[in-house]
Parts: sequence; C-alpha cells; structure tokens
Amino acid sequence: MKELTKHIDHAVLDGLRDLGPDLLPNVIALFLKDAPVRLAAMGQAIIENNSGSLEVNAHTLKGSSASLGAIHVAELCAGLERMGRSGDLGHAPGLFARLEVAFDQVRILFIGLSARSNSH
Amino acid sequence: MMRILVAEDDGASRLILQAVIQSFGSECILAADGRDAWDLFLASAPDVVISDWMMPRMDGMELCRRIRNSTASTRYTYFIFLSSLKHKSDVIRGMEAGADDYLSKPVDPDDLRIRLSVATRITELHTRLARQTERLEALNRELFEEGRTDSLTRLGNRRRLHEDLQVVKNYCAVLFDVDHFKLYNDLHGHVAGDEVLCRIGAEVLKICRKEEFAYRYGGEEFLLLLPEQSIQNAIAVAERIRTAIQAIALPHAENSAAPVVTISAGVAQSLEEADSALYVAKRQGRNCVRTLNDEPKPVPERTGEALVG
Repeated sequence: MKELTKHIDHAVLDGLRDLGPDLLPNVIALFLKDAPVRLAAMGQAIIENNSGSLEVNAHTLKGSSASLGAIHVAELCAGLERMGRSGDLGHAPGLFARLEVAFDQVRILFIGLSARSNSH
Repeated sequence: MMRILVAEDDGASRLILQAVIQSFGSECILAADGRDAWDLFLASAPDVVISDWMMPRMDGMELCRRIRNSTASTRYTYFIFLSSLKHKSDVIRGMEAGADDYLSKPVDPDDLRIRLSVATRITELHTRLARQTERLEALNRELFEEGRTDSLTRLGNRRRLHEDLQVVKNYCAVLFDVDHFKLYNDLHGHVAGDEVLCRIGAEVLKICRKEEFAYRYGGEEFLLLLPEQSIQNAIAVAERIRTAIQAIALPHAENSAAPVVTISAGVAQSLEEADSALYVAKRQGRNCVRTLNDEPKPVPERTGEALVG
C-alpha cells in the first residue's frame, strides 16, 4: 500500500474532502468512468500514429488525474502529450505501457477510497 | 454575488471547480467546451470566465479572443486561463489574447479565492471607468453642441455655419437683420437689445422646419439656409418671419419703417448675393424681403449715407 500511496498527493484529496462529503466520491466516479475512455483513445492514437489525438487525450487525462492528486499518472500523461505535440511517437508505446500500470494502481486506490467514504 | 463561467472539457476538473466556486457563495455556470462556453457567455453575461487552454471544438485562446472582441455587453469580463501548461510562452500568448490572469491545474482553492477577489476589484474598476467614459462622452456631445450654438438665441453660430456649408451645397439663403438696431440699443440699452434678439431667435425656431438651418450670423444679423428650395419658397419663409417679428410688436420709436421692431431680409442662392439683396431691402425702405431681381438696373452708385443698420 505504501508503494501505491506515494503516487498520490494526499493534500489534494484532503482539499477535495474539505469541499463537502459528496464531492470526492463523485469526482472519483467520474474519473474512473472517463479515464479508461481516454486511455483507449490514446492507445488507438499510438497505433494509428495520430499524434494530434494523442496530445488532446493525454492533455485531458493529465488534467483530471492531476485534479485528483494522481501526480504520477499526470506526469506520464504530460510526457505523452509532449510526444503528441512534437509528432514523434517513437517512444510513446513504452511510456503508454507505464501509464497503464500507473493508472491501474491509482484505480485500485480510488476504488478503495470511494468504498470507505461510502461506508461512512 | 459573482457569476462565474467555467469552460473545461474534463468532467472531474469541472466538478471540482464547481464545488470550489460554490463554496465561495458564487454562481457557477459549466461549459464542456469553448463553443458551449461562448453560447453561455452570450446568454448569461458572466463576471468572470475561467477557461481551460485546450478544449475540443473551440480552444481557450479563441474563446478569450471572442469575448474580448464581443460588443454583447458593456460590462468587463474578467478572463482567467486555466492550464497545466507550464510553458511561459503559452501564458504570454494567453495574456496577449486578452486574458487577465492564469491559474495552473490542479486548482488550489485558496489560490482561486485570491484571484477572484482581484477579479472583483478589477471588474468594479472597469464598471466605474465605463460609467465615467459614458458621462464624459455625454459631456463631450453637450460641449460640441454648445460650441456650435449661439448662447443668446440658441441658434447655430458661425462655427456651425462654417461646418454646415461643407455639407449643404444647394440651398437658398435668407439673410436678415433688425432695422435700426443700433438706435434701439442706444435708446433702450443692450439688455433690452439682447431681449429683442432672443425673441427673434425664438420666432425663427418656431417657423423653421427640421431640415432648415438657422444661425445668428453676426450682431443683429440672422441667416437661414434652406436646402433644396426654390427662391419663391425662400421668399415665403422670409416673409413669414418678417410678419411674425412685426407681430410681436416690440415698440421701436426710432424705426423709420414702423413704430415696432422689424427686419429686412435678402434672399438669394448664395451668401454673397443674399448680403447684396439685404442691402437692396435696406435701400427700399426696410421691413421688407428682397432679391437681387428687385434692384432697379443699372445698379446706382452706392453712396456713403447711412443705409445700413
């Protein structure tokens, strides 16, 4: 668990909790619904060498993951966004694979968080 | 209460921003892309727009540019860019496009609160400035009018005449003055003389139509420009004015033409000829309207005797 939590900026999550009891679970639910769509689009963009689509989708996922304190995911997205903007997707598959792993980790964490706040 | 429009394509960020803004007691309107934001901007006239940089359909730059060029509202809209972009050049481009401020994502609520308090101050300044500008413009218009109006008679002055003559080319001119006005002034004083000029100005304004131009031409001289009118019509107008002024019946014992204040008028298609026609009216006994055609030919030598005034 320690390994997992270092990918998360807990101060951001605390900030969201301060804004009301429903906000964090709602944002997490939205994130868990939207992020896989973005990831799929990014994977597709890399296969099709569509750098524009990679840039846009990576940008959006970067924003939403950062707003939930998922800094590691956001950093990997920033890297893919840069590649998309430069048009050189040579190293994109490797970075994307790391992103998928990182996302799986925060997903497990977020599901746990949501379950806990729901049981309150 | 501030009305804040949020343009952000990422749903999670949108939800968070909404919660933050509502926690400040402000109204929050949400748009999922630039195009929606633009429509909502037009519909709801927000005080502040917080916009993401990259959005589908219309990006933040274009939204900012449109809002800055918009004439839909006279109120100032404070524009904050929201972006995880750390590139300074993008920030600079955004500010050059008319943004007031920028915030990096994820948004820190305290940061946003500070920015919004600045936004309140700036929009209030803009509102005050707009009100002052409006007042200044009104004052300017007033001064413009005042600078072209004769303060005594409220008719146009020489400056207005000069300007109107640049535009009005085809007209009949009626030039008239008060018969023996100098004698009237000498006898009754300048205050009474001014009163006469005032009464005449009022009569002229009553008789003139909207498209006609009336001026105080000099001391006791008045001028009318009647655009696109025949000499016959102009003579009729001059005759109406002459009759109306005589009918006021202001006593003027020194007047050789009548025991009351009267005028003499010259009518022609140019100022110079109207001036000559007025001279003819003076020669032919005053209290009358004349054109150059009324002058017996050949033109007799003008002598130095007191024909004018």
